[in-house]
Amino acid sequence: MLKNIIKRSLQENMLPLPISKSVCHKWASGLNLKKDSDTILYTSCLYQLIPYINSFTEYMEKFNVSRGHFSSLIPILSKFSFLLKPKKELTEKSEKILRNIVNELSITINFGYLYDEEPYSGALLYELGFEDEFREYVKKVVEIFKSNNIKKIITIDPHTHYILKVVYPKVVNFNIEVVNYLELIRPMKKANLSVVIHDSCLYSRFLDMHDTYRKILDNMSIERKEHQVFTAKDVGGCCGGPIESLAPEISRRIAEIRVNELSKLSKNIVVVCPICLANLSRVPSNVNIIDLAELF
Amino acid sequence: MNDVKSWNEAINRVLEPTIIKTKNILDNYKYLYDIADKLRKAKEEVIKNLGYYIDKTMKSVEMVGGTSYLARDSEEARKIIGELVGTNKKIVMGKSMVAYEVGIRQYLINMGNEVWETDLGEFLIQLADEYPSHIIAPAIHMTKERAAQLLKEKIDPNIDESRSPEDLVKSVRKFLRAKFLNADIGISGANAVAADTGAVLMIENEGNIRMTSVLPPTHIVITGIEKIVPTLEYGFYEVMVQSAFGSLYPPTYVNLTAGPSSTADIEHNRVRPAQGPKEFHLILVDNGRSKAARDPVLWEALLCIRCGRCYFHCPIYKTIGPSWGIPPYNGPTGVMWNAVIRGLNNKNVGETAMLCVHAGGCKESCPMKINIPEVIHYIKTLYLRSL
Repeated sequence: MLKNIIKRSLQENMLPLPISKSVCHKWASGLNLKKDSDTILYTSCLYQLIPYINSFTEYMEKFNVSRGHFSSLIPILSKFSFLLKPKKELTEKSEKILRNIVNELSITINFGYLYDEEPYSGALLYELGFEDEFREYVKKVVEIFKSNNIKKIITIDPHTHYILKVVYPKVVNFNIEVVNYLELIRPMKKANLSVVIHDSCLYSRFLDMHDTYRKILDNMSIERKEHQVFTAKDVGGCCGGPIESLAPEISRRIAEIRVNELSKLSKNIVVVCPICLANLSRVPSNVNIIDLAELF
Repeated sequence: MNDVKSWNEAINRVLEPTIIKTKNILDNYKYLYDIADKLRKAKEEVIKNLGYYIDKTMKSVEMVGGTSYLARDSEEARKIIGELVGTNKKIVMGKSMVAYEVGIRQYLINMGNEVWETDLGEFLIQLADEYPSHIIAPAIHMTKERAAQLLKEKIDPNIDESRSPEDLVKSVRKFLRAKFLNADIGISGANAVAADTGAVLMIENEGNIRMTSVLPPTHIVITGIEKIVPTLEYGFYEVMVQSAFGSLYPPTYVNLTAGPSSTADIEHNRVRPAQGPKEFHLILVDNGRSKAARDPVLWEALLCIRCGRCYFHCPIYKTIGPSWGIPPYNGPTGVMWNAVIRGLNNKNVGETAMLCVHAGGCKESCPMKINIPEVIHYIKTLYLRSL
């Protein structure tokens, strides 16, 4: 059962996949971020997990794990840590994104980072519908924040932001301020580039941030191609990511359709979410899937 | 794989133009948002007091000379309609999802009746022996070429694939015209039922519902109890909002039926029947709705006016089509509706819900502002808890 894999991984190392915790903070070595700040950059290890998520999804698809029969998921994944071989270029990409975010944020705000103590948010449990397990897990996360005297959390991806901003307050006593890095940065770099945005479902339709990253691109003089259907706020142009572990084949088809329709507008597809980056990158194509933070 | 290909082909022809058409309608007739908000409040009031409004509606229908029935489940609905219809009758049906839900057409055919769907999309899927692939556009999965092929095989050998949609419609018109004129009974659904007057509103573009509800001597309406609105005013709101968000506005026809036909032309005293049906029957179907109305989360599903807009804003529906659901309900609202009629503990409903990617397009596009992703999340959670 997928639930058991996720649950066990979360119990063992507070990550949704059975991989080493060092994967999460390796990118920060040499940056000298403070560990004892009451304002922290919170990665929830999501960008760092992209290379592993893609490798995981490939296996799920290869072994034909789901096809909709979620109750009969084959328990092949207990040995998964041996099989997950992340692609080097994805690892480098995610490290670059994280470092760019740090550089840009450092201009406007002081913050620290919890390194090996940073917990995963539990977003995946919630999104899959494991609500009881999620509620239990969240308590542990909040304890870690409290024991580190955290007053303010800067999130860098939509899943973590939504979970902390909207869901945590509903399930646990949570009074830490949550801001998203897109609300704090003002990149000054200009780029001569034309792009199309693949919106994050959560930023766009659940957090009212559809315009937040558009303004950032505008300030950087980056041309955006918009379409009254395919980049509209009310159209669910999902990347397919949320069901990649349940129905990898459908997830891939959603990504193919999405890349296909956006590539007609521009060969440069800008994403603002690590899950979108992971899943759209699975589609073989001649387009560039670029995280916004790569442009800083 | 062919299924996937033909679905992609069909939906690609429809999706983008439909989204744009609906946006244009909503830009041009801004009052629609306002009446949609008023309608939601009125429907909330009915859902909170279903018992009262069912009772009031049934009394109002009797006041205008009709007969009303409350069916607790599908079986009861079939029994009621079976007794009303009998055997060896010719029946025409207007489009009704509730008729599908309770299995009317096949039941009446099995009883020895001749039954024809008269909505073009429904007619096509009756010929193909398939299920509706969209709540208001049941044959949306069929390309023009496939529809032509089907009509050629089943009703008109002169049709070929090069024919225009107008030609196809003409063939069906000729075929169905004879069915309307000879029908003993017309069965339709309803978009709204006004509790204060017993008036039923039915919206359409083809004219088939007008004929179904007027030509045969008996008109039977079958609909869900959530279609009740407090007053006739809200009934008109519902048809306006439904047609606009369903991308066809103004609708070609809005039919209002309050009891059997009548006249007051002699001494201004209303007598029944006149030229239209002699009998009018309203069957209100519960089938899980009143239970859902008491659920703290699922109740919101009952606000759905079935405009079908959410389908076009959903990446899962776009990708895998009508197979995302359990017939006859599919698409985002269909996940909720299957939970309403099959129960929150139904395993198949849970598995369907698991495919939701919570992209949120459904929520953004819904005229009733139903938080569909939240309801589906709830269905998922209950399903996973049960494993």
